Amino acid sequence: MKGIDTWLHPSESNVNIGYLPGEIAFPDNMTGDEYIKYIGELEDVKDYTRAKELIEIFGIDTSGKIKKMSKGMKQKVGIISAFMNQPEILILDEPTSGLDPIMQNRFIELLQEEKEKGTTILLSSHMFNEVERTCDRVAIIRQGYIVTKINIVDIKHAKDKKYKVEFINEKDYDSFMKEKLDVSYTNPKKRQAEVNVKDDDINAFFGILNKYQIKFFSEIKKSLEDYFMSFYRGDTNNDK
Amino acid sequence: MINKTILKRYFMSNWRLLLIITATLCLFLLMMTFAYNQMMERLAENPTPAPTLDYTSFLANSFIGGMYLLLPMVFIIVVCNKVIASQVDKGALAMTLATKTTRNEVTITNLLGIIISLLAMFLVVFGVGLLASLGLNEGELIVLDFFKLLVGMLLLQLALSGICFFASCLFNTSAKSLALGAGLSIGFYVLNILSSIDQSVDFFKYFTIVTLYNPEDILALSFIWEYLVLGFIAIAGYIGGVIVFKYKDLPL
Repeated sequence: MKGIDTWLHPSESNVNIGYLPGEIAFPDNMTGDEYIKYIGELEDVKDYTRAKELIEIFGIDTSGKIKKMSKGMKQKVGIISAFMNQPEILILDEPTSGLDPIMQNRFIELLQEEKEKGTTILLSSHMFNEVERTCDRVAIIRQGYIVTKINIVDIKHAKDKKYKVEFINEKDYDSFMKEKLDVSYTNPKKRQAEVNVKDDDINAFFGILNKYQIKFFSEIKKSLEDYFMSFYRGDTNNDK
Repeated sequence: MINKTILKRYFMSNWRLLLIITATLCLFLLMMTFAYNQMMERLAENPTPAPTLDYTSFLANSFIGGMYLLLPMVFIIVVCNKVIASQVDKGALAMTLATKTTRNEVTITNLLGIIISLLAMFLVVFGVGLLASLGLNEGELIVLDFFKLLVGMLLLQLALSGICFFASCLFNTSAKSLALGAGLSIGFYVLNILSSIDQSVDFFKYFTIVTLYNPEDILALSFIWEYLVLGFIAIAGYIGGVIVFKYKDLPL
């Protein structure tokens, strides 16, 4: 961790880490405030303004007993105690689980804010939308091993795109099929086709399209999810 | 090494149990004193040839070897498991260890809390014993012997806490930690009772550390090696527990 051996110098190495476990368990019989203060004391936090800001952001009443809190509230308490010390490194395990969509959004905004400050964030998540909006680099883990690493930018701005076309009549559809194109999916009944086109060939592609009567045309956005699924597709049975 | 916040946390979550057990102990001590007085009165009315029992050795067997062993044992079993193994089991230690706090701080601080608790119990019982003797028993108590007996039992408690603490540090689940810690403690107690039932099962006493608290030896002043063994078990358990916990793989 930052070049310090955590086994030999455990306390120096995690001075500035904020950690949020996947399934947070709290010590018994503590209120939210007591817990935040407890973690704060362990972290030597002197200034609780950040904690108060975070409580404000998530709109949570931390004075109640943690035992009586819902999953989402516990998660918020966990988030607050992980973020309040302005850590340099954040390790977050499924941070938005249990949060409602509005809070998920606020959390993503919070992450983006932290990212701009230069915080290193390690996030594990099943939520593609959250990953796409916050992460720079993604590693996909399957059965305990990293199967691929990719930059989010590469997915968002891939040089080849996929388009979906639907034709008005059968004849156009048939002759379109004979064009030299990289067709990845067809549906003759609906006269639909999905075509992969490189950005450099986009004009030629439009030239071809011009010859036909088209009912419908759209770009299919590639998402992290598709990318992810391509690693799992076909052998989901093996994973069970 | 010692973390003030964790120590505070220890007492916040355990003071109730400590208070209840200490109070119960004091109550028993007072009751025993009353019982002794009544017994003496009855004996004075119609003297029997039975050997008379002085107050100190009466307490040595009835109170110190009984309640002052059992109740603190309950405290030790519950608290030792609670401070380490149960926290690991529930995962509550994850956030604590993610802060600057080290594993050694967690173990050593909680250990200190347990030792302080046992010492506090000891001091209160000693004090109440003195008062009870002065107030109700016209100072029949042999203070030095009473003190030595209590120290012997305190050492036995520390040895038990060493075993329970080690079990708590060794295992990641409450169930296993309790099986070893509580199992051994209760087993020792039961074996101690069994060994005193009959001469034929007398050998059981070699399998239990409870017999190392031996009132006869203590009052006869030949108790040093027993105290040394108990102290050794306690320290070995503590050090072993701290080391095991520092280097083990935690499922957090």
